[in-house]
Amino acid sequence: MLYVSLQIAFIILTTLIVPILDGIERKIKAKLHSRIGPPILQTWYDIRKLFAKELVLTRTAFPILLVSLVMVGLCILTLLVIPAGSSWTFFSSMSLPLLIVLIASIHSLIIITSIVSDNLYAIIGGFRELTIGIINEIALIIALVLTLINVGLGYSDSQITTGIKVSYISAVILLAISSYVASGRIPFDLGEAEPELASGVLIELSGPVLGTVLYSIILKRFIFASITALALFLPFMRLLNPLLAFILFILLIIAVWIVHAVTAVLLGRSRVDIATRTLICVYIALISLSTIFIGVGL
Amino acid sequence: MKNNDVKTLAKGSDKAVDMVLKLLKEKLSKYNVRISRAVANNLIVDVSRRHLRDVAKIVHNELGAYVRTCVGCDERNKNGCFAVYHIFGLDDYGVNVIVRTLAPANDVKVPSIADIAPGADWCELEFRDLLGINVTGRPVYRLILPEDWPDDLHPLRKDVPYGVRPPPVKREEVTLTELESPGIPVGPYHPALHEPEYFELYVEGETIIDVRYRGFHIHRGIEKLGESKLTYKQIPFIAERICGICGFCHSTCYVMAVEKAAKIEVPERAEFIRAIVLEIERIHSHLLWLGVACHLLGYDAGFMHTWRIREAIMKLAEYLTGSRKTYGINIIGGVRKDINKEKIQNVLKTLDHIEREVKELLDMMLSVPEVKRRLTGTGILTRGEARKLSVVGPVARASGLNRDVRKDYPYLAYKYVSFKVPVYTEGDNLSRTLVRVEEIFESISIIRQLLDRLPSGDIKVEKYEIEPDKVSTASVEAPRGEDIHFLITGKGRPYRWKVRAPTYQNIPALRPMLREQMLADAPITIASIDPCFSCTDRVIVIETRNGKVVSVKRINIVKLSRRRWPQNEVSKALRSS
Repeated sequence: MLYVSLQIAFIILTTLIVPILDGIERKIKAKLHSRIGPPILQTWYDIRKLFAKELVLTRTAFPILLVSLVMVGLCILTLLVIPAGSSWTFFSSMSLPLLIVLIASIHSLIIITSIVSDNLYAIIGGFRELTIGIINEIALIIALVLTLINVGLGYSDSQITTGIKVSYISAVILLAISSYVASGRIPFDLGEAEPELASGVLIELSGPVLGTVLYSIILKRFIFASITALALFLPFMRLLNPLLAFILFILLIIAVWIVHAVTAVLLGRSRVDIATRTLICVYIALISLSTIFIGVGL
Repeated sequence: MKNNDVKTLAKGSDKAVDMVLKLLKEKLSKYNVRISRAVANNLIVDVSRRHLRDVAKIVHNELGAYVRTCVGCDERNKNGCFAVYHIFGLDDYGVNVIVRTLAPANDVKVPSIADIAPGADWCELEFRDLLGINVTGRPVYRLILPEDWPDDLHPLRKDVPYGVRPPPVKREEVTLTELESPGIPVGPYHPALHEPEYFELYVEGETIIDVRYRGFHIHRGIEKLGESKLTYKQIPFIAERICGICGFCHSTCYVMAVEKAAKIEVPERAEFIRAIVLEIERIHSHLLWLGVACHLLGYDAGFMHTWRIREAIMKLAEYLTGSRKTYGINIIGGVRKDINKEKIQNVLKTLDHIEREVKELLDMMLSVPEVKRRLTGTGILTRGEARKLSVVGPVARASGLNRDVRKDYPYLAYKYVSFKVPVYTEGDNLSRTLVRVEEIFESISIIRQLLDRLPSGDIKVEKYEIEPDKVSTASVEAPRGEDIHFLITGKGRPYRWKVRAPTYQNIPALRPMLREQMLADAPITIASIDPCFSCTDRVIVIETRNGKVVSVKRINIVKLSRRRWPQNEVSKALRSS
């Protein structure tokens, strides 16, 4: 019962705090840019303003609205699968495959919103997302599997080990990188790249539709921060009491989010061909290393 | 003449002009031409239409001159003809060769030289649009005037009054490029552009295969205004408003052209002050550009910090001139504001601080992997293309052309200071960035030297006379490249005043630079020429619907800005004020 309550609390808390986390990210960026920046609640204000605008349903906006609503639903469903610091087995052994399917579905829906539109910028943005997404999602899935192999071959709590191995560290690095890429921040925000694509996948959206899509994008960022936090937290999960684990897990997610925010400030935007080449090289190297380490028992 | 003789020659000097005169007489002896000296470092070659192309071939191809601009002029009330002035620059000598061709009013056409000197492509179309001088032997299309402007109305003709507003003519826009590939519109309003211009990028996948450009959306006829409404003394202040970044370059260029035509001896102290302000303008322009480049590359930390540092330069400009921009200190014969000892000390202190901060920032910026990777090897302009298109400024210098007006056509106090002209040979976006980066430090050094050697004395000449019918040119190395102003003096105001901004010369180079590039690199490649469309289009006046020029007092703007207005009321209030 405690696990269920914590999971519900996790979802409610998440849906409320993600715009605030985005506000904190904007404030951190502003600080690093030597400017004041918007108030922390600005993202909430933005979403509220967008929802107050009239709903214009053009031929392409209607399917986009439907898709974006499904996207928000899928994001919330994904949050259910992520154990909020308590138990990986909340949804039984199907958790990992379910998580993978949900993440892939969220990405596919973002791509669909851009391809549905007739706009050239949106279509180019969509294909960029697709290109990066295919490479990254493969790495993300492998990283998730490798992490779980390292902390315990099964999915049940009893099988989770607490020892830290070299192979675990390399798998977590792989997961952290692929989660960061999936969060769609600089240098991998290629689908929206403002200078050439004028917001790309988002260009045709406005009002409540844009508000819904933006909200789901922030939710998606939270999900990927949670996945990295989960990978870091998994070996220690069983050592803590559920409530403390829950609080620490949330704090860890916020810490990961802040690291993501700072990383985005330090980098410039990549190009789709450069990003693809770089990611393939990095992922192959890390997957090979992790596999070798597991093979030799390190 | 031996190369060594040219190297040791004082550029723009009487000796250099004589040498070029001799050279031209020798080379053009078989053609029916008349070569004469105009004011300062200008030579005029009068040539018939029949021999224009032959002369252009010799000057451009054999003597290695580049096209600085060409100008059309309605001289019917002087000699019954239209005149076309092709201005070629001989960098090695610091001499302008102005090739003048007359076309009788009943047969207004001249042969094109755009195939010989592609740098003349746009200016030929410009005088065709604005003066109705037809150009033969080349494809023609409308460049400057809007599509709905009548065919037979040429606004720069002397019989067309200022402010004429013909009813629009319905016409379909001509498509210049017909390709099956999708055309990605960039502009007229686009986040990558900060002014209204239109690029259409034809892509295959994400690779650009061709580019179409349509500009001059904001052409309002500043030249017509100068030739028909304003006086010599008013024009410097309107010239400064040609551009929001390098306005002082334009006003300096204009006053220098008048001073040359009227042979006004400007006090040395004024020349130093002008050069100091010009260098301040270069620093803030380059910092602005670096910020924009960072933003286009998604590195907003670089963007914000560059502009933070730039703020100190803006304050410095205000400290010296009284304004952050549009300084208003240039007048014919000198400047209106002096620099005292206290100011010199404060400026030097600020420069030390800025230099340190810029260095730290640029080291950091160029170490960001994405920034360096996306600048390297993109937007390449080869030396051959650069020479052919007569590009100027950092664009030319990044493609291996050692072209800088401060050295090649010495003016103001630049002859008293030593500085390096950075030249790179790669021709890519990184080279253009590095040229600007180095120029920031060179400009700081120039300002220090000028302040150190600032002579005493007057800062302006009060009395002078400007004789009519003098042909003069002046050029200033603006941050984006050379500005050139061409002037034929008239009574009380210029008879002909032509402004050529560097972007005008550099935009045609974007086509070879963008072809075969990735779409993602288009914004930074377009930005790498540091385009200024207001300079190119020469927008200047705010006009009301009835065609009158509005003069808005500062106090009214402040009042208006502090009030809450219903939508669309601001412009109404401005008009009524």
